[in-house]
Amino acid sequence: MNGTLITALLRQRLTSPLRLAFLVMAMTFPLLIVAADPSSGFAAVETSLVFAWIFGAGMIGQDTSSGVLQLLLARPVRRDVYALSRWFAVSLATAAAAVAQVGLAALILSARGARPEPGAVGFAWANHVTSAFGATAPLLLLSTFTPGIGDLGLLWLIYMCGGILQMAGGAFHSPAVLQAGHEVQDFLNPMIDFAKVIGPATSWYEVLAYLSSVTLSLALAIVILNRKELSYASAA
Amino acid sequence: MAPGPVEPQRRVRVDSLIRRKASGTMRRMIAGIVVEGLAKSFRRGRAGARVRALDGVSLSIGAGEAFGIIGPNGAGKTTFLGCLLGFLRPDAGRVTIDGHDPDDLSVRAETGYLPERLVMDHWMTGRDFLAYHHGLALLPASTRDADVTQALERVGLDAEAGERRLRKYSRGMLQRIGFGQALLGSPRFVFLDEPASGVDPAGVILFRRLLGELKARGVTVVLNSHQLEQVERVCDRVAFVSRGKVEAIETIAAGAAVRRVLRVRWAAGASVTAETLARLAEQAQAELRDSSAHAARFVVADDGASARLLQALVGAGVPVAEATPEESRLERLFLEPGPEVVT
Repeated sequence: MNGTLITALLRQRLTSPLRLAFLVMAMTFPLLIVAADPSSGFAAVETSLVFAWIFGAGMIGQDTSSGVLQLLLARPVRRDVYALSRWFAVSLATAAAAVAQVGLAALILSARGARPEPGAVGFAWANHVTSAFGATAPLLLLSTFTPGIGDLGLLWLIYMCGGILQMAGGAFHSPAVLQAGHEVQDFLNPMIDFAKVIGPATSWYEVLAYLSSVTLSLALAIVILNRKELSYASAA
Repeated sequence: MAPGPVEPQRRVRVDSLIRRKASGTMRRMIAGIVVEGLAKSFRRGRAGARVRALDGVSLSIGAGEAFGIIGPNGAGKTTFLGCLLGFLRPDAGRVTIDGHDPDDLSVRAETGYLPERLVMDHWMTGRDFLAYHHGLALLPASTRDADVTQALERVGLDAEAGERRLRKYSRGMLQRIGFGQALLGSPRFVFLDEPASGVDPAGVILFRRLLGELKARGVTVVLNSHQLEQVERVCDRVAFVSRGKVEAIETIAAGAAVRRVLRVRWAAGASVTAETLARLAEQAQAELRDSSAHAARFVVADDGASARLLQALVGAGVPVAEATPEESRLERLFLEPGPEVVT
C-alpha cells in the first residue's frame, strides 16, 4: 500500500461534486425510509454496494484514459501497489460511508422507539465493512480493462447477465443455470453475513466464497495491469 | 524542523532501492542508456494491419549526455520514449538504463519525465500536485514544503499560482508545472517529450536555461522535440528517426562542417556590385547565389569558408552588418543535406 496514493484518491473522491451529490443521495434516501418505517430495521440501509460504485467507478480506468497513469508510473511505484492502494482507498471510503449510515440508522431507530440490539448493529457494521472491501474488488478488476467509468457499465451488464441466467434457469428448470446466475452476481458483490457465520450453524462457505472472490479479483486486476501498455500510440 | 517519524522510513525505502541497484552484480553495469535492436508494432484499429512503429533501433546514450530525438510526426519518437520508460513492451530488443530494466524501481527513483500530452489531476492545486509527486518519488517528507516551493520558483510560477487549482492553469502553466515535477528530487535521468509545447516565449527561454542547468549537473537528458533550435542548443547528439528507424545520429558540432547558405546583409547606403561579391566569394572558395541592394546569399562549404568569406567582404570595405545561416545546424544535418542545398 502507498499512503500517498491512498490519500490522493480519497481527496479526489471527496472533491468531486458529482460523486458527492450521489453520495448524499445514497446516504439520505435510505435513512428517510428508516425514519418513515422503523419496523424495517437496517434493511433499507443495505447500500454499501452503491457507495462502492460511487467511490470506485473509474478507479483505474479514469487514470488510464486521462493519461495520469503514465505520469504516475514513471515514479518508483509498483503497479500492484498502485492497484491495491486504489482498491484499499475506495474500500476505506465505502466502509466509512456504510458504517456512518448504519450508525445514523441506529440513532434514527432509537429516536423512533425501535432501538436495535447492540449485536444487530455490530453485525450490520461487520457486514457492511466486508461488503465494502468485497464489492470494490471486482470493480477494480473491471476498471483495469475499461476506460473512464466503463467499469461500472460493464459491472451492471454482467450483473444483468447474471439475472438473465437466473430467470432462464427458473424458466427452464435448470438448477445449474440458476446457480451460475447466482454465482455471477455473488462474484460481483462478495459479502459475508456475519449472523450466519457466527450463528449456531457456522457457514464457512460464505467466508471462503468471499475470500476467493476478492482474492481472484485482486490477483486478476494486478495481472492485467502489469501487462498493460501505457501509450496513446498503443490505442491508435 | 526535526524530521517526522515518516521520513526515516522513506529514506530507508530509497536507500534500499539504491542498494539493490548497487548489488546487481549479475547485471551488466553499463552507465547510461543502451538500446539494442528495439522493435515495436501496433495494430491500427481493432482488426487493422500491424504498423511497425520501431524497427530495430539500436543506440547508446552516455551518462550525462543530452540526447535529442527528432523526426517527422509518426516517426516513432514517442513510442521510442515509451520503451525507454518501460511503458511499452518491445516486440524485440531491449533497453537498459545503467544496466537495469527501464521499469526497475531503482531507475524510476532517479527518473524525471514530462510527457507530451500532459494530463494531470485537475482537482489539485499546483502545490498539491508537486507534493503528490514528491511523495510518490519517495523524497523525505521533511523537505516537501521547501522542495515544492523551490520547484515552483524554478519553473517561474509564483505562490499564487501554486495555490490555484490545475484546472484553472493555462496550457503553458501546465507545461511549467509538469516540468517542475520532472525535476523534483534531482533525477539523474530526465525524459522530456516536447517540453516547450504550448509554452510562451519567456517559458521557452526558461526551459532552455533549465535544460542547460541539467546538462551542467551531469544529468542524462533525452529530449524529443520538434523545436530544432531548442534541441541544437541543448543536445550533444541528435538521432533522426524516420519510419521507426534511426536514420542518422550526429553530433551537433558536425553541423559546422556541412555546406550551408549564408545570408550577409550590409549597412544601407553602401554600394556593392554583384561582380564584386562574386569575385570576393571566389577568393574565399565560396559561391554567390544571389544578391540584392543590401544583402546577398552565399553557399559556403563549412565554418572555415564562412570565416574567409566574411574576412574578404570586410577587407574589401563591405560594411557587413549581419551574417546568418539560412538553416540551423540541425536543418543542415538532417533536413537539407549539404549537396542538395547548393546550386
